[in-house]
Amino acid sequence: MLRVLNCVALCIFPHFIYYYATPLSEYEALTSTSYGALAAVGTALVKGCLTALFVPAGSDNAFLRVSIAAAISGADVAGLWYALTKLPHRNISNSHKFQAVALGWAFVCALLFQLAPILAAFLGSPDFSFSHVLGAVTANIHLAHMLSMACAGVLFWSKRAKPAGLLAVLRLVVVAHAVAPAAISVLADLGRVSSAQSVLLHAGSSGLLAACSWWLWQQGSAKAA
Amino acid sequence: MVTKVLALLALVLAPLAGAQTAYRLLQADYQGRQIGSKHYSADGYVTLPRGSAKPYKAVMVLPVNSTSPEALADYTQQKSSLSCVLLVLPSSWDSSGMPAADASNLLRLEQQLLAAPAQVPVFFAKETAALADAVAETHAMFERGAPPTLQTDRYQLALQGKMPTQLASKQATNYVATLRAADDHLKLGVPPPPALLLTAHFDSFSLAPGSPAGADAAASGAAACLLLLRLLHRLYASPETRPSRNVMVLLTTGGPYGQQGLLHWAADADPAQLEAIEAAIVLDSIGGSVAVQQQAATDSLRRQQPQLHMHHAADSSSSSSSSNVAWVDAVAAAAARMGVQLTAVQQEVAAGTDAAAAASASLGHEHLARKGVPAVSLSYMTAAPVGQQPRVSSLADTAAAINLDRVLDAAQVAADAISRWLYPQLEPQLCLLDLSSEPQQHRDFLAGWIKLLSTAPSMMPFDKADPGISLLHENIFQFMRTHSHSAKRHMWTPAGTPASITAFGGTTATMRVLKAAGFMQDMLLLAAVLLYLGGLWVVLVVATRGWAELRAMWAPKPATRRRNTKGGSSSNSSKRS
Repeated sequence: MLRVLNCVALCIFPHFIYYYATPLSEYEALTSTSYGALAAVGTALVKGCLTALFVPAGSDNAFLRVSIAAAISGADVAGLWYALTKLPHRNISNSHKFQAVALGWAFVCALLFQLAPILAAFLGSPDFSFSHVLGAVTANIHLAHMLSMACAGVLFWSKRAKPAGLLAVLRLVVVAHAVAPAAISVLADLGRVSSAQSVLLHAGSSGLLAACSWWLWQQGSAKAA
Repeated sequence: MVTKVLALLALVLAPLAGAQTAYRLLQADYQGRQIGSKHYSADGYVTLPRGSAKPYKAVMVLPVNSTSPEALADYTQQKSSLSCVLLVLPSSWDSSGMPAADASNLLRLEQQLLAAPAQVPVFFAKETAALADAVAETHAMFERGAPPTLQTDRYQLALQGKMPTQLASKQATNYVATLRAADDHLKLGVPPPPALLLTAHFDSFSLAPGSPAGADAAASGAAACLLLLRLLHRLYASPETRPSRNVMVLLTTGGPYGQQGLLHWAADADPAQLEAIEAAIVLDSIGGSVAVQQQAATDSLRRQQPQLHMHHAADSSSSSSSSNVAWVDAVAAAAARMGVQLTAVQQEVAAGTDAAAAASASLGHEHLARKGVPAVSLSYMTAAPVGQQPRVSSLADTAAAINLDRVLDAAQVAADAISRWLYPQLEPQLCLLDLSSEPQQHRDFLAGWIKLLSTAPSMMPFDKADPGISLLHENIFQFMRTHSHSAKRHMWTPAGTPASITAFGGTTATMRVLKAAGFMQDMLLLAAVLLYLGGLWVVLVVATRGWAELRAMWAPKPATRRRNTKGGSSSNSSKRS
């Protein structure tokens, strides 16, 4: 029971902490956060349908199977775009809107892909292994990844003129944000890396991309000043 | 307290270190017959075959030297809640070989696994200190009356393999190197000079293809062929010593499947070239290892010291019988000169179609005899394992179990027979393989090739994407090219392969032994989680709002004045007064 509580706390509490520790709660960004969460649920449903339709489950070609699944995960980009542009957000700044949507998205992903298996394992059979702790850690890494992607997204979205060199780096960072998780999951599914190594890779890539986003943000703020 | 903290750290860091290789039971043979489970990964707590309770999500650890085939069948042949079965090989398995009794028991377990498909994943692993500790502590748990379960303290085994991949090509490859006589100008219409064929198969069939098995069954003969090729090349390199006859060295695949590679090579060979072959030697299982010895049919044969046997066909056709007899006598005489005890074993060669031939052949000389080529097979096997398809190489058949002296004995017999055939009139006769000079060099050469041939996955059809397999094939071909006048690949397709084969992916797995956390570790994990969440709060508040905001959250709020609604405020009354 204690182990379940540890994993649940590690999985979802960071999202609440982020919402209340940062000024997001003061700007009443709950609506935008909810939109992000709803978009994540909808995208997950669409991805599930696409996976059922197009991924050849009986195929022995593991690379084909995993590649199609990775391509389907590109639907995340469409879901995020929909949440940011097509839903009526409150009158808050782009920065807070992006953060709120990313937070809601990461929260739902943590619920669906990390917390649900933990609870299923606990309710079905109390088979708690290190992989469940890793799953909870992965939720945190994914949150950091989504927030750094939001940071890069805000810069990309901003209508301020950006130097050509910075724009190229910005585009590269945004693409890397979108592609890195899918690439790591392909490696893990093909068995090239173990679950612990994939978490380390995810953490490393998220950290690197977060550093890039922070640097870009600093550069963007300096140019604006 | 310190040890608990270290244990928690070990739990966190354990997946990053302490991994060892485990070998996965073959999923299916090349004809699609299921042997093992399709699951390539397994995760469960360590348990032992004690008590009657059915363990759930456990790894059943069975030592190969004390597990009976019946017990193995109990755990593998029924769908169960076991995560996997782990067969533990002795720690000296690949370094100094296994005792005869253990090799014999392992062979019985392998026969059991072949007899019926395994319903749970089966892995083989060498006993290491970590695994031994886990088993010993689990024994102690049983002794204390507190057997390991999912809820109690226990050791965990995590096995991670690779997903099976579909084989792109079902073709197998033979390699043939030719040393040409001085007057063999390859002119059209001119018959080639007489030739001698020296051949061995270099592939093996093992229940754990990723393991270094098949050293005696396959690698020993192939390594000896390459040694003789190297020595013969020296003769052919010099105009003074270049013989007037050809020698062909042929390394084949399909050896465990009725020597199909040799059968196909003989079927595809140029008839003139085949007719020019006056003699052939097949080297098969010349390592004298305990593992092959234990495969003998009777107990008395198993207990004997390995003796070199010369298997030859009793062919009734008169056209080739005299040359066959002459060649058999020549090889026997060579053994006598080398001081090697040789036992001749004569066997009828079945006539009929190639398919029937493949079913009945096991050492290779049978296919050549059917083509009218005088051929003998040198082997330490007392009898040809007729009818076994495929011929299984036990996991006990490692390079460590090879006796290099036995290999050199067989190689010397072959070398002497070859040199007398090359130079029939030469006196005193040439000693092709002279062990008095360069003995260590020959031994090192054999040991190196036996190790390479047995450690690379060598099961037909080959997964050419496997770097170990492609490296092995490249090494063989390059060596043959360097030590011959011409080296060629001969491609052939194994009979009876289904449309797709997914048998050979994931031949190895990474295994980690983990100590699962108990209550204390859970408390420490809780403390770590709370610390992390608290630290996250502090960092986020400081980063987004500043230190002042954080201090303000913890600063005591000033007391508020209470308003006296009946008599006015106390401050007003004080002002009036």
